[in-house]
Amino acid sequence: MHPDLLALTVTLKLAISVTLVLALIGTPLAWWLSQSTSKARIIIEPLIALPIVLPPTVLGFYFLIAFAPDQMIGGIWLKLVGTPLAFTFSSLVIASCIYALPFYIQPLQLAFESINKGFLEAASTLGASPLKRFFYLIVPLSRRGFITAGSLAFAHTIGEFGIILMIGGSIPGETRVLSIALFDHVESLNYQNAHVLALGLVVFSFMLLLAIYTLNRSPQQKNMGMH
Amino acid sequence: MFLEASINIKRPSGFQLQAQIDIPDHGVTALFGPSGSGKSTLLRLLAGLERGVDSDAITIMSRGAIWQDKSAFVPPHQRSIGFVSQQPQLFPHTTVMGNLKLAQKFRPTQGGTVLADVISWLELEPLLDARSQHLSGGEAQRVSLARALIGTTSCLLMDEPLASIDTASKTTLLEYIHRLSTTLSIPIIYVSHSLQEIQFLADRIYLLQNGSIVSSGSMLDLGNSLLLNKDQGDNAGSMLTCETLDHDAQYGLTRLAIDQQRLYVTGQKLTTNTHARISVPARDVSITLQRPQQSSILNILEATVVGIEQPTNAPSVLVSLKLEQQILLARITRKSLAHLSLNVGQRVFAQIKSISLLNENLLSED
Repeated sequence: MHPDLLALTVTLKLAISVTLVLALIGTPLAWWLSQSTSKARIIIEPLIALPIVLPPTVLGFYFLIAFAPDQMIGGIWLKLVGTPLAFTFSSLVIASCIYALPFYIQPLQLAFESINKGFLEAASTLGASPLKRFFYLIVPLSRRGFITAGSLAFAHTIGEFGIILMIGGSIPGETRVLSIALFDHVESLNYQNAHVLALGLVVFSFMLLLAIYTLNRSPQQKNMGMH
Repeated sequence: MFLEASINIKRPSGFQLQAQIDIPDHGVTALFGPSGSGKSTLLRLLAGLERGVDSDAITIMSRGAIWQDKSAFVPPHQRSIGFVSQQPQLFPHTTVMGNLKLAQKFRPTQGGTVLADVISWLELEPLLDARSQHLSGGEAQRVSLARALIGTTSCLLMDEPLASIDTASKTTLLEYIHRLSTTLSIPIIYVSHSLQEIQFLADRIYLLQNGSIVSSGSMLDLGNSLLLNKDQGDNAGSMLTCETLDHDAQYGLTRLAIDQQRLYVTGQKLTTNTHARISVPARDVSITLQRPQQSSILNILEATVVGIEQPTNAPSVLVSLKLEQQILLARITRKSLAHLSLNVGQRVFAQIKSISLLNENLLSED
């Protein structure tokens, strides 16, 4: 396989994995943040938002240290999986999840917060358990939030560079993603391949955003979740 | 007893609610009182939508099973109740039918009222494909009522269901609710600050003020009482049960029997020998000491003064008049009260200027 195509597969695999992991972990977290009156929120919310303001290299630096086999996270991973965590695809998934977390959580939390509580109360008096309320009411009522959250997390992972540069290296088929491949082409003055990748990423990102805006503007969704 | 509850809660705001209530297995029990009296909070506690804090004392038993006490709490979705609130709260992402289907999905196997029945009872057929945003307030509330009934096996709770819809739809919806209350085998608990609604629907009343129950009893005992009517201004009035006798085609009047006396209502041809309920505003009842001989007023009833409202600065007072069994309220000026020197026990004549008939379904087709 052409090395750039291989980089594309790794990138897509990473973005899909991150989006799925965030859907599983980020969704309940966003729900908790939208409903909780706990004081812990004061600490947790800015903590989640931190990757938005921090330079990715700062995050990458700490991940690099934490993923080493003699550190806590790296050590636990080594015990559980049997192989080191550093410079693997899994390490990229973990780091990218944390990096993309605010982009997933924030739109979803906003969508959850705007759901009229009366609908949920009505559903509970109609016999809906919390799980049924979630799947039959909260999910359809926050459809826009899910679309925005999922695609932002996906797109941010595709465009990630700094963290991956710090912790992933550039192992083909494992940690060499598109943005790194592009960087390598530029480093070796291979501008023609760099153009193909760069333009490809621009077109892809534009198409993704176009799709989100179109989906979120579908006329049926008017007044969704509003009072 | 369907439900026995003992509630004593205190809010940080200082509001306190203390209530002991028993709800029997059938009929409509009304929680009546001004806003801020705690009636909605009481209903929400019964539904499980609020559960109080640790320092509150709440015990709710339903047919021997504990819904809430110090250690146990059954969440609302396990109480098999129907709940209709002031806002219809129809789910906006689907149609009327979608809303009903969701209710069915939420409570699939517990029996109770089925989808087809509620659609026909509440005549929802023409609305089924509409989205909730396109319904009028009255229609939306009818759908909300239907949705609440699906699969409900324990009781129907209603929290000011008519408070935010227009007057015309109110009458229609009241009729629907009244009909349901006679059809359904489950008890209804109805919260309202509107005396008319309560008099029209309720079999029993709990009167709440400032977080406590100040009086309770059957509609017959309490519905037309001074206690319930004294703060109602122009809304004060009595609800009376009559028997329809015959129709006078020449003058377009129907004759009613009430506690051995006769009344006429105008313009309506009614099925004879059925129960009719009439509403008489207190301000349309005046009192004379002798039976007026030459008066345009048709309806004059002989009655005994059984109660007079404690006069205040207001220009008028309510007087409670007993026919044979039922109570008729009259609003007269303080000046007239002094002029007639009315006393409890006195025989008087009540002249009634207007009567409205409440069971419109009694109107015969021809």
